[in-house]
Amino acid sequence: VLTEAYVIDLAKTLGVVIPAEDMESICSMLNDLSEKMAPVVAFIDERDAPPELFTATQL
Amino acid sequence: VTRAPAPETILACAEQIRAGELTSSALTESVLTRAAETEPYIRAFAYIDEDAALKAAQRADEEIRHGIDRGPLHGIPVGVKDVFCTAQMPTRAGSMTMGTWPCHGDSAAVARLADSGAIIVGKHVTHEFACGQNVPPARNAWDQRCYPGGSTAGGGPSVAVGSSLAAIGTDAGGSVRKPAALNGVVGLKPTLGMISRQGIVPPSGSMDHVGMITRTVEDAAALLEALRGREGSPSAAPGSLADADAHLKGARLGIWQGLADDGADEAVAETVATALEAFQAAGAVLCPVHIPELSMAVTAGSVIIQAEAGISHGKLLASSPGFYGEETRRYLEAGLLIPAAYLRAAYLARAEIAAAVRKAFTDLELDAIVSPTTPMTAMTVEQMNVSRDLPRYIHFTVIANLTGWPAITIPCGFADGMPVGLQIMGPPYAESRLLGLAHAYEKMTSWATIRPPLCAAGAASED
Repeated sequence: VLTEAYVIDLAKTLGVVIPAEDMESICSMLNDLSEKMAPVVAFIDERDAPPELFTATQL
Repeated sequence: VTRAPAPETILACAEQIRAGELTSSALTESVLTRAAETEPYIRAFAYIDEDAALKAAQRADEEIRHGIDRGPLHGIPVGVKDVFCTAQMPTRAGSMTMGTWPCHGDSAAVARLADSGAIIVGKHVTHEFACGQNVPPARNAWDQRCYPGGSTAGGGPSVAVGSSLAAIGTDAGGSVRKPAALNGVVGLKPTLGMISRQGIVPPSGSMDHVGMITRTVEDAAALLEALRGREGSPSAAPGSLADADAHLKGARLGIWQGLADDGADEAVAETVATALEAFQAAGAVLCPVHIPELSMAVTAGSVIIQAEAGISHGKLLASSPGFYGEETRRYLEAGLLIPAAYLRAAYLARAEIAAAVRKAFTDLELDAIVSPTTPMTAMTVEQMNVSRDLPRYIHFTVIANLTGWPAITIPCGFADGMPVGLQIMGPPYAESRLLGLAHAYEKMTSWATIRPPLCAAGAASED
């Protein structure tokens, strides 16, 4: 779970200015995304050899 | 439903203009009249410039009288999504604060339209900055209580009612194909990079494509010919689509298995199944395709779009946060803070999906993959929950954005009175093949000639 303190810290480190009134909703958005990404991250981590990011066909 | 009077397509109008039976001025006037009748109901345009359109139409007529022929778009009134920069019209990209995007002249696609002699009537409504975080003001052509699709939200309804004969839009997850499908018209997203994205307000660097919305497949082919880059992309000229039998007999069409179960509503699935029977009866072979990696498509696509949109808007967001509506601003801010590990996983998932789709095509010797365009028809705006429902709408379309493959949606019937789209997706630069298949289906059915009641009855009788 990404806490509000972590997000504030991250934003400071990256130089992203976040109005205080947006923080709660941004944390909720990032945590929702974190939940949805868990199976994707797990799938990728289980691969022995990650695929090439871009191939000639994609370009 | 009401049968459409001819001519209402680009190619039919182009033929009449060349035969001296129709002028661009008369056509543009009639399109502007249709806009005046229907705009109070569908609100498809963010901006209309009647004077400029009529002057451009007069110039087109003058050129045609002097034997200058710029091709099938010469003198044809079209609309462009309000994310394409235009030198002569404001570009607000749906900004809730009505700010104007800093443009430097026409975008490449708009310049190509102008070179082709098209008349740009105005700018179509978009979700704010094409981000899909708000309900846009435009409404569905078939039921004005309903969502028009997005983010090319004005393009679909406008083409459906005839207040533009075609629209150009952008498509990062399905934003051209969704509004086309939900309004019962044709939407084409070509291969990644086939049409220049120069001069477009960005949502996503690697997912976004320029596409078009038209009433027929042949019109989409005409527009693609005008807009595509000339280097290395094979021709998809309308004339090459004529032989329906040649396109359908023996065509091998992949059908997603396991994707529809958790995706399409029953009524949509039934309508698409009927369309597939028609393909089969005409000689096509249906081949089940199962790709487990596709379960990651919506999540991976959404993360890439949000992160890349955040990056694209980062500077403006920092200097002018008031330029954005609240929902869009938060979406973009969150996009800037997406952990790198997630973005990496999303890019790798994309590569896995692309590899799996390519392998299926090769192993099964497919010509195309066919599916519903959207898993459900247009819902009422009142029912709609943006964060819950908009990701569902891209269930089938986002696959072509992740792979960069071309995909077309064509109308294939109705479910509960609302249009259903059939999506046909194929490998890179297979636009001619996809257009051929789509045109053959269109010829077998009458869906392309059916118009919303608003179209023929006029706005006054809709009260």
